[in-house]
Amino acid sequence: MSAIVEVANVCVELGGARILAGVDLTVAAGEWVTVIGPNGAGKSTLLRAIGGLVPFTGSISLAGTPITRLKRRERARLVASVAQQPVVPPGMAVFDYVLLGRTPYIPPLGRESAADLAIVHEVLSGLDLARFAGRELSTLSGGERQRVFLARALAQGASLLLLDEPTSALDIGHQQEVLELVDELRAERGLTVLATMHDLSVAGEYADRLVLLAEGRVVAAGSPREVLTEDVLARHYRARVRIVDGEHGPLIVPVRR
Amino acid sequence: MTDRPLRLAARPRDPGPEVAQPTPARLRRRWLLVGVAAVLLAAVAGLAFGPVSLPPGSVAAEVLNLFPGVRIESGLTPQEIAIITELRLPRVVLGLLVGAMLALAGGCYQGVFRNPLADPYLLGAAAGAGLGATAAIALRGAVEGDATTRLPATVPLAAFAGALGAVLLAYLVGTVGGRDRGSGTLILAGVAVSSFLTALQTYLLQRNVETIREVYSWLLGRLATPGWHDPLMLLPYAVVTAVVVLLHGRELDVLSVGDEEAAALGLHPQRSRYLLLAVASLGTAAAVAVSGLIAFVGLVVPHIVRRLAGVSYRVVLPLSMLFGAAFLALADLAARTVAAPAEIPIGVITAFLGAPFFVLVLRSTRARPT
Repeated sequence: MSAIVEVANVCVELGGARILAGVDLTVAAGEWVTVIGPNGAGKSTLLRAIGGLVPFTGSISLAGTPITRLKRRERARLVASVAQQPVVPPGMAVFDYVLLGRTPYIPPLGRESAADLAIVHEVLSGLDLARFAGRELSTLSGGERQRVFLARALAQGASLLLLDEPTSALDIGHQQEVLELVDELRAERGLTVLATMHDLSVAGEYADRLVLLAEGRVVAAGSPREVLTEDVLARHYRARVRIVDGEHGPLIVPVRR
Repeated sequence: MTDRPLRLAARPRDPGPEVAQPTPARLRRRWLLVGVAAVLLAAVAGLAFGPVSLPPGSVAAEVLNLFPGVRIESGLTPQEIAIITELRLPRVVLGLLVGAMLALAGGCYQGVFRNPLADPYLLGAAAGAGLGATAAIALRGAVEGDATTRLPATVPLAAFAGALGAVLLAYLVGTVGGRDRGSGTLILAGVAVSSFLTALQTYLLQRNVETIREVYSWLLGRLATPGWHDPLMLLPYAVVTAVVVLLHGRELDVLSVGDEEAAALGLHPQRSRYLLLAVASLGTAAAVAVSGLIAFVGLVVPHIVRRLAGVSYRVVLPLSMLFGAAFLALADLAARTVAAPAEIPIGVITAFLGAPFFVLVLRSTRARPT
């Protein structure tokens, strides 16, 4: 399969601190890759760099084109991201919020077309959100909101989804619901998913591959079974865990020291 | 890819009957008509009432007579017609333009800064204009005649230059560490520049205490215009500001999710922000130059519109213009009739009427209806 994301020797400095120090990463089209790592490892920064939202050195290509050569609107048609804590604009209705996803297709200073509206309707009903269309986004529950954030990203029509901690604000049931939904959409629409996650068991259950970042470098990469070992987690998380073999991948059980 | 329909058969579909398909937040015709009607009513009221009160129906007929090809018998004497078209009409038009500019600029600033407390004076336009006007009045020399009406002809120019200079200074100070430092730095720069210029103005005033009355009357705002000079001076700025800002309504909606997400959606948030600030400040400076400092309109009118008609800037901006125009024309009517023959400064009226009205709207509306 062709690579949709190619990251080579990427370094990012923010406020004088080196956040990423020579990261290499390739994501094939249709793949689900999850970046894991301790707090401050640079997971979110890596996603922001791939989204073109922070300055970097090295090279990042999307579908074969270096992102520095893409115009913002072109880039926004290729990659859609859901931030860790998306801003909820006060008073904005769900429909209008999801419609923001069509921005890269609406001419500057222009207005949305009937096709844009049709796509928003389709995404909303596909995610079982049509009944919320007129509701204020801020009045929705956490799980409903997360689906709306996802809907906006889908309305963007990009083939690459960047999900930064997509389930960190959700209870365990809604976590599963959202991740199953992402997986269904990936299959339905041929999306590629690059996510960051803290819950290692969940990360391993959904991702094809895991990439472990520590102190701005990739220290382990491969299938969940290859990356999620007691030894690796002890070294990079300083955590004492037991690995249990689960149906969809290794399950991590923390053990008191 | 991606425009294929989603087929998620396993997911439950909406239960129950289909509700009406929601549509994007756009300016509804109903609200547009209400806004236009408010402007027309305020204009006719402003033309009809004063030291000589005239029947509003006849006034409306005379306004229509201003259009080429219209000839309606209003039953008014030539003197009464002259009162309407030569004395009151320029003042009403000036009120409409200033109100529209301040409310539009206020709504725009609130969107650009994502801050409900933003108003057109946030970046120092008021302090700069105040300093400019004070300097023009104080440096002119001795006062002749009635101090409240005879301001030097240089005051509008000085106020205009002061307002624009202050905003430019705030911009330079706020972006000294790079343009990507965010809007918070710019707001703080505006506060610092305002304080600095106000200090200069106070000092100037202390050194020229005999001008205090004139300066104070200018600071509180007034729409006393001796003819068409002021409205015509403001008009080109108003047109440019209105066109540019209104075209950016959707972009301001996108900016409401924050700079980073807006950039991820393909926008250049900083570019849009500085363009909008530049034109909104230009409109504000032009309005302040001819009217003095009229408080409250720019802050409150956009909020009232948001409460009543929706939060999208495609709704807030055009309706703020219309309701701001109507509000200021009515405030001016009150300013010149309540204590006639004396005039109350219009800034006092806008706050006196606006504050309770705003509280009323806050109390009677819950969250935004779409």
